[in-house]
Amino acid sequence: MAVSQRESQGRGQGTDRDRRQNQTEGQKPDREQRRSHPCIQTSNLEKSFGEEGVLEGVDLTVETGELLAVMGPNGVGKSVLFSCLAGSDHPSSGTVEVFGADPTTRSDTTSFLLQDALCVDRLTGRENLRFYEQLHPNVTDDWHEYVEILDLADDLDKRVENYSGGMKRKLELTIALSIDVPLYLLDEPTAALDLTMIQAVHGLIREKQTEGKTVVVSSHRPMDVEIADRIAFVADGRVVATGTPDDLFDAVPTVVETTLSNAEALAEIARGGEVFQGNGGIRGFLSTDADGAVDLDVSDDEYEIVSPGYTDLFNYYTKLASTTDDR
Amino acid sequence: MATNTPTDRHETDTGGVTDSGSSVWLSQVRAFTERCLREVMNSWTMLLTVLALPAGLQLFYGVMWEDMPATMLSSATVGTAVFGAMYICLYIFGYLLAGDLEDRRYEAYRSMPLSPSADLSGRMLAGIALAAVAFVLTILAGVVTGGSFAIRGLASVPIAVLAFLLTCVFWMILAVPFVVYTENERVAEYAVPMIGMLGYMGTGFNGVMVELAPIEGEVLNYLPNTLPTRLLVYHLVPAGDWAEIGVAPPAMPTGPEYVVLMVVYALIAVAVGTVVVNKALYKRGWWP
Repeated sequence: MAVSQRESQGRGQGTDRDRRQNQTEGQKPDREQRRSHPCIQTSNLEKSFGEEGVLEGVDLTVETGELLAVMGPNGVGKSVLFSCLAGSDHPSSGTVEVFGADPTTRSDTTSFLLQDALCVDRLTGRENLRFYEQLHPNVTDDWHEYVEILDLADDLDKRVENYSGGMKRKLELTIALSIDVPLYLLDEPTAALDLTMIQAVHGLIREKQTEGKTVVVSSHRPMDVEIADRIAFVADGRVVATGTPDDLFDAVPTVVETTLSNAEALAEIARGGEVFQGNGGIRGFLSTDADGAVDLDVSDDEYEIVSPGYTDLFNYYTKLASTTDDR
Repeated sequence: MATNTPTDRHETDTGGVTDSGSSVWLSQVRAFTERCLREVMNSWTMLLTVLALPAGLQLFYGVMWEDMPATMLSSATVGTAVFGAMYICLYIFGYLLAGDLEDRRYEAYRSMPLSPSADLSGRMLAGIALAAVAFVLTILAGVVTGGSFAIRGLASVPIAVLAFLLTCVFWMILAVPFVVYTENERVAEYAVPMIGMLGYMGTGFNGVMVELAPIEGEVLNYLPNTLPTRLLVYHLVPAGDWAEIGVAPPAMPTGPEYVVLMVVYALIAVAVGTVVVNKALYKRGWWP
């Protein structure tokens, strides 16, 4: 529904976005062709604040036109990584190149969505939009459409201090996506949004990618991963695994689910001795023998081998893969 | 026009299809000015605090000092009006800047093609505009309570305007290092304006009531708050005997060297402000 609404509005208004879409439709650049050179390249990137090291040797490559999801537990340095990629922070050591240049010296290529940092609370939504419209030379009039799509149009004349967390997020997204640049760094774009809005945001992100833009999003939500070409998992200040969702799933060992009462038995044979909360039970990652048999000391009807989900993927790569060599 | 590659984007930018550098700079100045003014206008508390405080103070003084000679009341009014300008510059500039720092907005600004000088200029224009309103309101309060004002000559107009502007610039820039160091909105809201209050009280209402000043002598013609105030008094108050109305000694700063000194103060302040904004807020080089 959101898509059809967007289409009808887009045709009527003739915004910058329409012109871009028409142009894109005419050219339809091949995705593989667009990915001929990296958009982002970091090498041994380190960032520390005083004694505390946050990023400890991040190596990451993002191809032009790609949609990369960066995932990791809270506090592992995803936001700091995004700040370094956006040119907001200087790395303590290592290199960052965005389109072949140091992002701290060139700031016309990136739109950076930070969490709860863009909007001025004492202004209304409309006044915030006007501020960024005057401030950034690449802001387009696409925001008119985005506020409709994100269901924010009726609240634009309210002060942001009276907005809910989700409304603030939608306004910040509107600002960030209205900036016409080749790279979008979106730090938790769907945080605090309801499911309908998440779908709408995914639609907007996909649209950007169709226009040839590169998009990097950080998230904890499996839903956000579904739209990604590749996923990069961050743990312990490093990128511990990257790949397409299929490749990453293929590399996940056997997942066994059992009941809570068998948690200790599962932990004894689980990789890293760790078990995780599953859907109504306890899950662990096992090494299977050549026959695919599971050496779990409980009766056969008390456990089952399950297909890994996104939560398993997250747990494996952020909590186990970084401490073992299984990637 | 949107393009698919950054190389094209860059060529588009440098090719002059997008806005020219100066128009972008002006637009960014306007963005910061408008935003600061809107933030104040949207808050009655802030608006009353910054605009009504000095005028209200002058009305209070006027009632308290109803037997005071008109020219003496006028010089006190100028002292209060300059205090108002100082207070607003410290409060508005410091408070709004601290809000941006506390909310990590500079992280976003640093990722954008923003000019630090446009940021500084835009904020200063807003501060000057609000300070000008407060200054005029305070002078009007002085007139209402019996003060009389007149310009000394044609040269008084540019000198008075210059003295006012340089006062604003100096005190706004003074707020920057405090705010950058503390990164705290509350400190900026309450502690930074106290600098202005201390300067006002500690120098005998900015050097217009020398008997009340703990410091005395020629130094009152050299301090960054008392010098412009005493210059404004000389050019706006129709008095002949300065000692009689409590402004002298020291003798009034009438020579051109005092105007030059004020300009030097402002230039130093702007240089310091530019360096701090570039280096501490935008994490760029020492100079644009």
